[in-house]
Order: sequence, then C-alpha cells, then structure tokens
Amino acid sequence: MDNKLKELRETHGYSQDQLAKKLGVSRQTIISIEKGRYNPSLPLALQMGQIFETPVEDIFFLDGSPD
Amino acid sequence: MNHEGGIIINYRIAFSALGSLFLLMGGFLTIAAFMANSAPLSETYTILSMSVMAFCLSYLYPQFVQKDERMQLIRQKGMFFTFFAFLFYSFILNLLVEFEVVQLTASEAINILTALMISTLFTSWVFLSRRY
Repeated sequence: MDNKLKELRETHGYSQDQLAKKLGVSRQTIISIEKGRYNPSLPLALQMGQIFETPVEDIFFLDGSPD
Repeated sequence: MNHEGGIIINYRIAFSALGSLFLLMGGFLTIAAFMANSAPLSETYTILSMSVMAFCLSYLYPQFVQKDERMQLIRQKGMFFTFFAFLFYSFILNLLVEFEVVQLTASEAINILTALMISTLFTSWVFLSRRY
C-alpha cells in the first residue's frame, strides 16, 4: 500500500512530531507510515482523514493506483 | 531539549550502564571458567542475555515508552517469532541431550533456554523496530 501522507502533512503545515501528537502515536510511527514500511490500522487512517479533511482513499491507495 | 526528552535520555543511559554491568559480570564469569578450564556456570548465559536485554532496551526505550499501535505490532510479531524460535531451540537441545553430545542438568538446560529466549525476544524487537 502506498500513501500521500507526507504531501498532505506538508500541505497542512504539520511537522511529523505535531501530527504524531495529534494522532496520539510516536513520531517513529509517522516516519514508518510515510516511508510505506508500516500500514496503519483503520481507526488511525480514519483519524488522519478527519485531520486532513479528506477521504481515507485519498491518503492511502493500493500500489500503482495513486488517484 | 524538553523535560520528556531528558527523561528518555536518562533511561537510555541507565539501560546502557546496566547492560555494561551485566556484560562485565558475564565476561568475568566466562574468563574465570576459561581459566579453570571448565564450562562456564549456566547462570553466565542468563547474565549475558540480561546484558543483551538491557542494551536492546536502551535502543528501544524511546519507542517503547509510547505504547502506540506500531509498537504493539512489533511486540506481537517479536513474541510470535520467539515462540517458534523456542520450539527450535528445544528441539536442538533435546537432540543434543538425547545423542549425548552434551550432558546437561535440568537447571542448566532451563538457564540456557531462558537466556536464548530473552536474547531472541529483545533482538527480534530491535530488528522489527528497524524494519517497521
């Protein structure tokens, strides 16, 4: 699974640390998600969608289907 | 550096110091056994595994302190892997004892298995935390 978390985070002006605190996870978790090494749980993905005011499928998508 | 960061660094230093202490103790016991021309006491393995544990914890502490879902996954996967490693170790140890390659008392076997379990669990957590 691929994601646009880094782009969205930077667009909304959050640092990794700020986003981690907002989501109640560690900064390392945000780094791992951005690098695609870790896929978040559904509740965490939905929380991200709420923060960025965008559907989850606009943040996370299957490999090879970015839009 | 904020207060939280300072506490984390203090814990990391404490774990490293503890690891060094255990390593020193384990090293001393190994050298003593070597000089006495005999096998090390079985407790030596446990002490050395405690050293591995402390060093791993000094690396893992900043991540472990926050019990988020990624850390839970790493913990679960580490324990799952360690379970199968335990079966493998038991099988090998059983073979060695059955074919009389080594002669161990029950307490020695338990100490060796415990040391292997501790080392495997903590090193697997370190590997997994680097992977995820």
